[in-house]
Amino acid sequence: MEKNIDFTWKIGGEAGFGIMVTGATFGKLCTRSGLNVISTVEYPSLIRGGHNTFIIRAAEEKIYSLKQTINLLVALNKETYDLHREELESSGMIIFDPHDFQPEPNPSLEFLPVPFFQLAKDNKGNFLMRNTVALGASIAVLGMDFSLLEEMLRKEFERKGEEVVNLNINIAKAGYAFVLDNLKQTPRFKLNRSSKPKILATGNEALGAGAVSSGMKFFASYPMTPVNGLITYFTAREKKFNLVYKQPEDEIAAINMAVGASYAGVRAMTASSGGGFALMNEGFSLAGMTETPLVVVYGQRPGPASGLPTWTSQGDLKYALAAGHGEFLRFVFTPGDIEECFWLTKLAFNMADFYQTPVIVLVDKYLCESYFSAETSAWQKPQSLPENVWQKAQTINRGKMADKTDGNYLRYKITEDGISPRAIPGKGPVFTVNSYEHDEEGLSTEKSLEIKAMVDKRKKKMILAQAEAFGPIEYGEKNANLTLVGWGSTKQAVLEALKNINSSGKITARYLHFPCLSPFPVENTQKLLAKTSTIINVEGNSQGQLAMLIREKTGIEITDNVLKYDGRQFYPEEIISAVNVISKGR
Amino acid sequence: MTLTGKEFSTKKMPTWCPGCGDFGIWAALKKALVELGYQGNDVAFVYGIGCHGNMYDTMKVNNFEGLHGRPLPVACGIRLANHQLPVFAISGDGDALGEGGNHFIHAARRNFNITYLIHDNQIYALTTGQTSPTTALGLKTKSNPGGSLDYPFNPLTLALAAGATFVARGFAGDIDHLCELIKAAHQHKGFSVLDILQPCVTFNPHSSYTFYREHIYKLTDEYQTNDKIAAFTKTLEWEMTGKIPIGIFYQEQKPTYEDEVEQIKNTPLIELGLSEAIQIENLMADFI
Ligand SMILES: Cc1ncc(C[n+]2csc(CCOP(=O)(O)OP(=O)(O)O)c2C)c(N)n1
Ligand code: SF4
Repeated sequence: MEKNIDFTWKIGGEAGFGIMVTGATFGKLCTRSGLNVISTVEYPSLIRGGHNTFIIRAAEEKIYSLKQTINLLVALNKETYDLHREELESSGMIIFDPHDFQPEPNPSLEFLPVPFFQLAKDNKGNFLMRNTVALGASIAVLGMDFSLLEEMLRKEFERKGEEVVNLNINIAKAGYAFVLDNLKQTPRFKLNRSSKPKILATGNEALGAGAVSSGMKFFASYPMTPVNGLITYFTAREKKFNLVYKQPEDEIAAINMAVGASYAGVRAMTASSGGGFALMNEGFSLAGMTETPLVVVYGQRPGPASGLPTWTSQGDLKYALAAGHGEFLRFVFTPGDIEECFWLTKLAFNMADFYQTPVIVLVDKYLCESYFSAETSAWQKPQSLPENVWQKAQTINRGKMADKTDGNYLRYKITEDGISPRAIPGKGPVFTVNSYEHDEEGLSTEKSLEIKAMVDKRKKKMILAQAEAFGPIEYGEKNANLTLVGWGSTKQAVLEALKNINSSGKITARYLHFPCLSPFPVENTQKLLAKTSTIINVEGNSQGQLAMLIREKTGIEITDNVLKYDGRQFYPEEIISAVNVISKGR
Repeated sequence: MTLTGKEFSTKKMPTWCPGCGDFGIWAALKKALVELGYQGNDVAFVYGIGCHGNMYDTMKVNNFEGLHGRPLPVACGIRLANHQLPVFAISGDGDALGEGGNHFIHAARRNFNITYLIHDNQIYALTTGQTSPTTALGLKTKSNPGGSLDYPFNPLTLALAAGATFVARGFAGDIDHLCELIKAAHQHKGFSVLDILQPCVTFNPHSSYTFYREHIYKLTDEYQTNDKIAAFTKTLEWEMTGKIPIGIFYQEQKPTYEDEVEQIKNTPLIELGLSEAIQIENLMADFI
């Protein structure tokens, strides 16, 4: 049975059923079987009782995004069946416990009853271990190697002793064996353990790994979805990595602590979502004025106010670009996948140090909390970013530092490029940093000439940094008659859609992805957009903020927008149909 | 009186009003630094925004002049990055208890090793005289011309309740005594709160040197500083009797926050080398 492997698996159940862990384990089973993986989790802002799902699309070929339809639905309760059966493709399969509910017959679907609870009980397990039975059942259907699952369960439960390890393995095996005995056909595929490992990580983990490999030593962040995964990533490893996480009393404290740590000489970072970032604004401006390096991870979710805590959005672009009062240099990087998350965080630290200014890495809930696979080479050398960006990001560069013995050291010395050597308190000359306008020494001033000189110095950095702008990155057909533009995680759905659009033969399309929106790549954008007649902006907000920005920076007006703002990420199908409609109208 | 500590002077002179209590605090502080044996580069100072904070311009030490209400989180960040660097934080009653009230409580309960001086003039002085969290009930201020309706709160009682391990009150008009308190506060290992009665001659005539001289008295050796319940009672004496004790109200030895962070037990964070674990190949292992 040789077919191109590409399936979507979805597990659903009540919050508290262990859906998240099961999904993550299943994702890793796929990557270890050599498949590419894209996933996402959907859950309400509740701890128990809400409906949770974990969706994984796995395929042999490179995939960029989920599809709207699924092939295999694992229903840990009736609600999952009720809510998601419509999403099943024909010949799709439902795995369910016949004691929970009886599905209505449907000839185009395959029903696989597996007594989750009974099998768990028979093997000394409890109600909450039904998901382990479901995992065993899923891999039997797909024809995966059971030893992979066994290995993972062993690793996961090792700490709890041999008994717990065996309990879990037996329960998984029960699900696996039950399916092999009862399946009407042979397993759908034959999947062997892959010899070529892949990475499977969430956006948060990729940002975290990027920060750690940049030598980040201090992280302060007040918990807020969707960046909590960053906290977990660091705290699980802080001793190994020689870093300190401090949970602050609020986001104002978070950013001020990070600024303090950075002033004292270590690479520091903070993270939040829109509401928390709003509280950080004054501190963000403080980093700009004191010229203290700082990296801020900004994970968007829909606003205003508390909005939709556990859903996704690209609604804060304009806010992030304008954050902090006063005029100073801010970088805003907008990674679209885990490769870019990793590298742009590394770049962020180098830019923050080199320009002595705050840098935002702007992501979203979908990217932060979903698992994605990548080749291991992605974190060794990025495929999706220009060579010079990689070079700038690759090694730790702390920027200009003061000569330790400089008797006439001036913290804010006026220099040709606007960048003054930085000092570390107690490790060189005595110095003052100041949130008030200051002279070269850092002492306050209200003298017209001195003020102007210092504003000009900061402005020089803005001008100099313009050369750091990169992108947009071009994907698809170079001479296409239709151009899509976007930033951040929409990249993935657009790339998936491009495969289909360009293979249809009717339209040729390309995609311009913007991973760096401040400084804005003015000339490159103008050049790349000049030759297209139809430009479509694809964005996860209701106004088309990227289109507004492009117009502001280049004068190019984009009138066609594909916008989505219901808390969900884009699906390629939506982009394909929007593109078809728009291009028909031409 | 001759100032000691010329070595801590900058090209700037203070901009405070003649007679401002901040002069006394400034003098006591520089004297304390000298007596503690510090040079400017041995310490870091973080300041809030207010008349108090304007001191940074006249102090040749490592200065961080930050935001209104936020000196403490910056100070905590510095301590975590380099706990070998002694840190002083300079604040005002508005800065410490109004805008920065939340940070105050949490720095106290965490017991960061920071010397915290509150220039308590019971008014927002730099903004020209509005009500602060320690302004007396009924005092007429620019923001309450009919008299303040807010009951003031007592920074020392709050500090104790929040878990500060050194709680003291000084008076800007008694430089030698204040200098001793600053030294004791700094030598205390943990979060030390020193609330300093600071006359603002321009905006708060109510809390004048004369008023304080008439009402304050110094705690003597007979007073036990290790009894928390007695300390609570002592902090309430002003409200209850009108007599104002100055001196150390409470002191307790407890591990500091920095002491308890395992990664930096032996070496400050800034000195810790980059671990092998941050090599990309090693990082990746978690995700394969
Ligand atoms: C965020 C913010 N809000 C308000 C101000 C304006 N402001 C400056 S100083 C101050 C109050 C100062 O009172 P206090 O901290 O007691 O210091 P003092 O001037 O009395 O020494 C205020 C409200 C500011 N600088 N920043
Ligand atoms: S206004 Fe008050 S606190 Fe400010 S300098 Fe003058 S006397 Fe001092």
